[in-house]
Order: sequence, then structure tokens, then C-alpha cells
Amino acid sequence: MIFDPFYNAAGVPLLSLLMLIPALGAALLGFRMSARAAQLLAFGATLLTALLSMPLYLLFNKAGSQMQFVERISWVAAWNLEYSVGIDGISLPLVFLTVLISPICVLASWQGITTRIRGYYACLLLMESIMLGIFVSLNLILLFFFWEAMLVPMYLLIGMWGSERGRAAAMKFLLFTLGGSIFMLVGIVAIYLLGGRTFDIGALSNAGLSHGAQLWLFIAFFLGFAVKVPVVPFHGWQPDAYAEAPTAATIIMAAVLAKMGTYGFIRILFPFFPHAAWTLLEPMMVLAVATVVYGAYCALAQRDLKRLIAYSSLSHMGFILLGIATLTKAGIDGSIIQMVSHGVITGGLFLWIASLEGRLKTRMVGDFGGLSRAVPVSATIFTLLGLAATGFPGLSAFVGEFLILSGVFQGHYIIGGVAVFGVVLGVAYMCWAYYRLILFRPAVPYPNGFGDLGLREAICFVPLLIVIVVVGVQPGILLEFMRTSVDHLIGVIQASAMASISAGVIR
Amino acid sequence: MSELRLLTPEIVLTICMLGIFLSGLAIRSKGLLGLLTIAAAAVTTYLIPLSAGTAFDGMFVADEYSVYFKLLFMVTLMLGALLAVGAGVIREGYAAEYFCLLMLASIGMMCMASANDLIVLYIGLELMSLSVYVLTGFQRENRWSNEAAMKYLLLGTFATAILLFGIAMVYILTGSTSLPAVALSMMTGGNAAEPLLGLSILAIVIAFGFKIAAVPFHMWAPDAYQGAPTPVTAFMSVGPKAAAFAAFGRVLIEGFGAALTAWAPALTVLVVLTVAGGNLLALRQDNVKRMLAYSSVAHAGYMLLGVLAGTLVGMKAVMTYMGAYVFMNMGAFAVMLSLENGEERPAYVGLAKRRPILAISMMIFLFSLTGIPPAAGFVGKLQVFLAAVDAGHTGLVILAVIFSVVSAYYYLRLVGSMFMRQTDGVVAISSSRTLLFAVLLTAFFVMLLGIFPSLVIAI
Repeated sequence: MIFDPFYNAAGVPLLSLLMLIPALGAALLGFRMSARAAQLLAFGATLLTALLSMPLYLLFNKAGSQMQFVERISWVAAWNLEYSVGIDGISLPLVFLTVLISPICVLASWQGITTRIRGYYACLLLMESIMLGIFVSLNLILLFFFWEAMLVPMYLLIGMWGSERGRAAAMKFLLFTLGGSIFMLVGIVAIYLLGGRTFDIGALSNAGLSHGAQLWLFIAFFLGFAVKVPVVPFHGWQPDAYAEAPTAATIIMAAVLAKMGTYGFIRILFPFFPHAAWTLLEPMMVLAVATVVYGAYCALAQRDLKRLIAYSSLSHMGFILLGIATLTKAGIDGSIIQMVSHGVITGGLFLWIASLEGRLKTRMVGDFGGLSRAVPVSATIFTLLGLAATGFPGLSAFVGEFLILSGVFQGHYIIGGVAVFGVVLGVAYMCWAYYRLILFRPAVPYPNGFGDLGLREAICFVPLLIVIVVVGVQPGILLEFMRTSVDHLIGVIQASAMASISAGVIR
Repeated sequence: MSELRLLTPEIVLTICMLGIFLSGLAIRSKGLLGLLTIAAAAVTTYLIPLSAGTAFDGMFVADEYSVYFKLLFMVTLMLGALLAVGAGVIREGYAAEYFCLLMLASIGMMCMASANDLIVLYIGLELMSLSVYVLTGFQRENRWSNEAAMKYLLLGTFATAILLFGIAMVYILTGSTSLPAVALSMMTGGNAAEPLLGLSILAIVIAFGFKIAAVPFHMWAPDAYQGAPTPVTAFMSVGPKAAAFAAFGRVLIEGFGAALTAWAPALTVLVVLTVAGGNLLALRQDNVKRMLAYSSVAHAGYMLLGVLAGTLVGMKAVMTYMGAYVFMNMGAFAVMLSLENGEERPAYVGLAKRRPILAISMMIFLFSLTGIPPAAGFVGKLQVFLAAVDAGHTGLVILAVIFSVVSAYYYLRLVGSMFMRQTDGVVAISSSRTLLFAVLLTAFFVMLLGIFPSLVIAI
């Protein structure tokens, strides 16, 4: 294995280790063991991964725009393919999000999952490995490997441990995702042949493809990423999958899987096809605000809490895409912050719904009411999460949305206006839900067993709330990691686009 | 005499076959005979890479191309023998005949891979086909098996007759049956416009279309696959198909490479029909064995895409695909054999709970057949798509990937019933250790080749 001593500050294959530990944990779950042992093993593996990711933050060189902690080793010589991983300021926050969410997912499943426990945690751990793999891959085949491999455990998680309609939702999820990613596969094949027979993401960035080729390939890759985000009109699988999946799988999907799509936009779509991106910025912004408004309107109409948050998540993902599509520093900065923030907030909201559903076996808004008296701690947490979701100043989503909107208003007033309207809708459905759940009288008196959050449940929320507040108050903590990388990215894209504008290729 | 040295693997395998045939008089144990067959295949596997060169005035070649395919045939033979040992359908008394026929078919396939002359090709093809016809009807007392064999025999003979017709026309056109001579004549002579050329190529494409079960020449395949004893189905969905591709590729690319424009349109039609037809027909099947039969039709379509590229790169992609396909398809059949009544869907309901190892292995095979990494099927698909796009067939590749999503539906519906449904009744499972070993071995290789593609990529 070759380590570039200059970029690999740790001196050990840290990123590969991060991916390996959950996978090893999953393999160990193949042995016969008690349910409790399986839970502890899964929790231990995710916790160890989180601890082991600490050196990434401590040793990361914030001034460098290059990939860091790079590992390269020849994989398939016939294709000029390497196993290559590394991170920069754009992937680091997402790695951070993944290792933060994973232990919470394990804890969130502590009581809800009672059947086939070893298989369940094996799937969860595999998911963590795969998600990390996607964010650290430095070549397209490795990325696609993880991208597709993700389908297997996710399909099983939704179908085996989801609700009765989970099977149909799992199949829908799988076919939609596969339907998008196969076009990406064709795109990968084509760009390999056009871009000098390499799969390396760094080498393919700005490979100087013709404008026509860029447009086609842009669309091929866009389909792959857009399904995962999802962007309207590719969102058909999302409400069902989010609603029918077990809590941990929903959290993973909303918090991390959706980010794989937007990460793809930033890491691949824009640097690979700057001309096409430049030409298609406005159509993308329109799709993005359509997602924002459509998601918010659908959320307004929901009575099922999980579906409500699913649609609100759709709406917020639209915001992230909008920020990226501005191609301004503020917009992209805001998007990356929003990726972390949305992951934490939506993850927290789904977790909170699961705590209610675990007690009352229902998640219809009409079945609840007056939670502020019945379960004050739980209600307080929802208050914080709800405020964060609506973009309350001082909490993380505000920073993200503010930066995104300030990026949009650098020239796109109408789209910005519609997006602001989306924010207002977001406040509307959140206030409605808050009123019905927390303040309104309960429809029927709660049964005796309906108690407040236990210690294990409460602990799950703590790291999420800390992130929400800290990023909200001091966004520089995240921003300073990504500043150089985002500057570099925008510089590359703009320089290339400007060059072709002056050459008269595009307007 | 020195030319015979090139045929050492074939000769050794033939001698072993005769030995097993004779020892069948004394040895009744199926296990022992199967072990002997595997040992013979192993010895041949060792010998195959040692021979290189041409013999008999260039009629017979041993090159990297033929070596790769022959190694695949040996893997198929070994797995085929393993399945036969584990399967109850092949009864003890007939075991020697069964293994001899398997080996005979393999010898025919080896001839096909090495044939550099249309006549040698024809001889190999007939040897293989006749052995497989008999194997298909091996359950003499089973009417379905008889029907399948008859259907296969009649249509197969028809196809070989067409091939012979094509060969005759090639001879008229070029004055030779040797592929290098044909190639020379294609390059120098003004044959390209000859109507006879188009006709002869059409005959050859149709004949091989039958052999690889490409739509619209696939009619025999579902019935023959379903009627044949399952170990035979596993063998013939892989071995003869690989051999036909080996010969097809050599004829088209080495012989008619210069006349690419003459055969590419015919093959394009074949690819479109096969990929679409195979996948759409598989969608409606309730019988798992029949579904796998149609899926194998669809896979032939993907591989044809590599042949259509018309280059050695394309053929190498086909070889990689075949290398992955051998393991995943035989593995799926091995799981089917391990289940009582494994041809029907109910046998798979709730399998994950009853036999987790079988269920997980089957899942690996099915995901691999879908082409989802990290299973080996993805490697084959990727390389075929690379070759096809490189040759300018982007539209066909897009069609192929769209239909691979269709295939995901019927493959994963089975995964769904194994993992996401419960059964009330207890479905019996034949607990053959040999079959379990075959399942684990193939699953291991599917994962290994998927994660380390260099092992299977033909250089």
C-alpha cells in the first residue's frame, strides 16, 4: 500500500480502518450470540469507529485543498484502476455525520428490533462501512461499488424489519435507485473512455470534454444522484421508504443516504462537467425550488408524523441542491453546513417519532396532544428540533439556509423569493404539528404506561442537540474545515466556465 | 507426433473418460466416480495452460483465448460433477454414464474453443451437442425429461444443419474452411458485396443464435432447461453456452473481422431482441427453474453485446462475463438442488429463517446476476459495457442497463420471499453436504472475483 507521507498525516491507513471496523463487526455477528451481545457488539463497533475518526479532525490540514489521508493501491491493472481513498474539506463533514449518526442508530434500535437481531445489526454496520466508503472514494468505480452495494443491506433493512408494507417499499426503493444509478454506470463507462482511460476523480475533474459530451454525461450522472437526494420528480420512492422502514433505516436514509446524492453533485457533477453545469444552473435551481415548495405543501397535508417529516426532509434537501446550484461560495458553504445540519435535525426528528411510536403504537398526529404535560422532557426536545427545522436563528439550519439564500439572491431574485416562500411553508407545517402534538388537548387520555424518555433514549438526542446548537452559534467550526476546499472547487469550475465563455463555446 | 502434444489436455481427458466408463462396471458408488471425474478435470486443468501453438496445418490452435475458455469448461465440469454427486436425480447405477457424458461434452467444448477451422468447429459442436442431448433426457422414465431432450435434439439438429449450410457457402466463397484463409480472402477479395457472403454469415449467426439461445432462436431453451434434470440444466446453461461463445467469437472476429459491416446489423438485432425478450419473459415466470432459463437467455444478450464490439477487447469482456457467470449461475442451481421441490417458489418462502446460509448464498447469486457489486456479475457487465461503448454502441448499452433494472425485479422478488416472508408449513430440505459445499464454494468465488476482478479478467 502506498501512502503519500505528505498528505497522510496519520501514517496509518486510517480511512480503510474506519471502513473495516464496522464491516468486521458485521462479520463477527455471523457467530451465534445472545441478542444483548449482538447489540453491544454493534454499539461497540460504531463507537470505536467514531473514536477512531478523531485523528481525522485533529490532524486535518485546513489550509490544504488537496486530498488528505490518501491511500492508493493498484486494484485492477487492466482498467488502470486503483483502490484510492482520501478526504478533503468537503467530505470530512459528511464522514463526521456518518460516524455520529451510526451509534445513535444502534441505540435507537435497542427496543424496537426484536426479531433476527444479529442480521439487523450486521446490516446496520455494513451500511456504515458503505456510507463511509462513498464519502472517501477517490475513483468512480470504487464509489459506484459502494453506491450499489448500499442497496443490499438497505433493501433488507426496509423489507425485513419495516412495517407490513415494507416489502413493497423496499422493492420500490431498490428499483428507483437502480434505475437512476444505471445511467450513472453508463456515464462512468463513457467518461472513462472519453477522459483518458482513468476512473480517478481527481484526474477526471475538468478533463476538457466537449460541450456536447458534457451535457449528455451531466444528465446521466444527474439522474443517478437526483434519485438518491431525491429531487422532484424522482422522489416517488422516498415517502414510502421513509415511512415503512424501521427507525434506524429511516434515520440513515434521511440523514446520510440523501447526502450521498448532494455530495455527488459537489464532488463529481460540477467539477467533471463545468460547462454543462454552467449552462444548466438555472434549470437545476428551478428543480430545486420545485422540490422545496412541493415537499413543503405535501408535508402540510400529512397526518402521519413519519410521512410529514419525510416530506419536510424532501423540502430541505431541495434547499441543499439550491445552494449547490448557485455555484457561489456562500451557497456551497451553506449547502455543506445544511447537509450536516439537516442530517442531525431530521435524524433527531425521526428518532423522536420512534420514541412516541414505541409507546403508543401509532404515529398519527391526531392520536397525540398535550405532550408538554404528559412528557415534558420529550416535548422540550421536540421544541428544540422543531425550531431548528424551521431555521430558527442560533440553531444550525439557520446558518445553512441563510448562506444558501444569500447565495441565491446574488442574481436570482425570483427563485430566491420562491425559496423564501418555502421557508414560510416550513414554519407553517411545523407550527401546525407542534400545536397539535404539544399544546392541543389529547384525543383520548394516555394509557398508564405512557412515560417520558428513558435515559438511553435521552442520551441519543444529546450529541444531536449539541451539534445543532454549536454549529448554530459558531458555524466557523465547520466552515474552517471546508473553506479551502470549497474555494478551490469554485475556482476550478469558474475558471473553466469562463474560459469557454470567452472562447464562445457557451454563453 | 509432436503436433499431438498440443492436444494433451483433450487426450488426457478422453483417456480419463474411457477409464471412468470402464471402472463404472466395477465401481457403483456415485461419490467415488464423481471424485474421479473431478480429479480428471483437475489434471486437465493443470495441463491446459502448458500447451501453446498451432497444429494440423493451423486447424487447431491453443492460445490464451482457448486456454481461458478451456479452464472455464473445467470449472464447469468440476462443479457439474459436484452437483451430480449431491443431487438425488442422478441415480447410483447410472452414474458412470452420466459422468462420461459430462466429460465427452467437455471434450467437445474444448475442441470448439481451439477450432481454427470450420470443420473442426463442427466436429466439436456435434460432440458437445449430442452428449448434452442425451444428458437432457437422462431421466428416462420422466416424460418431461424425454420431451425436453426430443425438443432440444430436433431444434439443435436443425441449427447444426444451418451451420453446415453456412460453412458450405463460406467454402464456395473463399475456397477454404480455415479461419485464417477466410480472413485473408475477406481482406483481399472484393467479397463484401457478394450476396452469398451475407447469406453465409446469416446462416452462421442463426446457428450460433440457436446454440446460445438468443431470441428469436430461444424457443427450445425454457423447455429443455425445465425438463432436464437440474444438475444437467446447471451444466448446460453454462458450459455449452460458453463454448458456443468461444467459437462464435473466433469465427466472427478472426474469420469475418474484415466483414464487420456485414454481420454487425444482424447481431445488433439479436442483441436488442435477446436482452429485451429474455428479461421480459423472465418477468412472468412463476417456476424458478424456468425463470433462470429465461434469465440465462437475457445474459446471452449481454454477452452478445461484447461480441458485437467486434474486437478482441470485446471478446475479452465476454470471457470475463462468462467467468463470473459460471459461478453465479451454477451456484443458483446448486441452491435450487438443495431444496426439496426447489423449482417452485414456495420452497423459498422464509428460507432465511430455516436455512440462513443457503438463503444468504442465494442472495449473493441473485444480486450477482442482477449485476450489483461487490458480486462478480458486476465486473462482467462493466467490462462488456466498456467494450461496447468503446465500439460505439452506446444506445445498445443504455437499452441493456434499462433491462437490467427489469431483471432486478424478478431476481429480487425471490430475495424478497426468502428474507421478508414467513411460512407456516415446514418445507423439507435435502441435506446433502456435497451440495452445501458446492453452494459455499461458488458463493465464495462470486464474492472473491467481484472484489478482486483481476483474478477473472482475461488479459
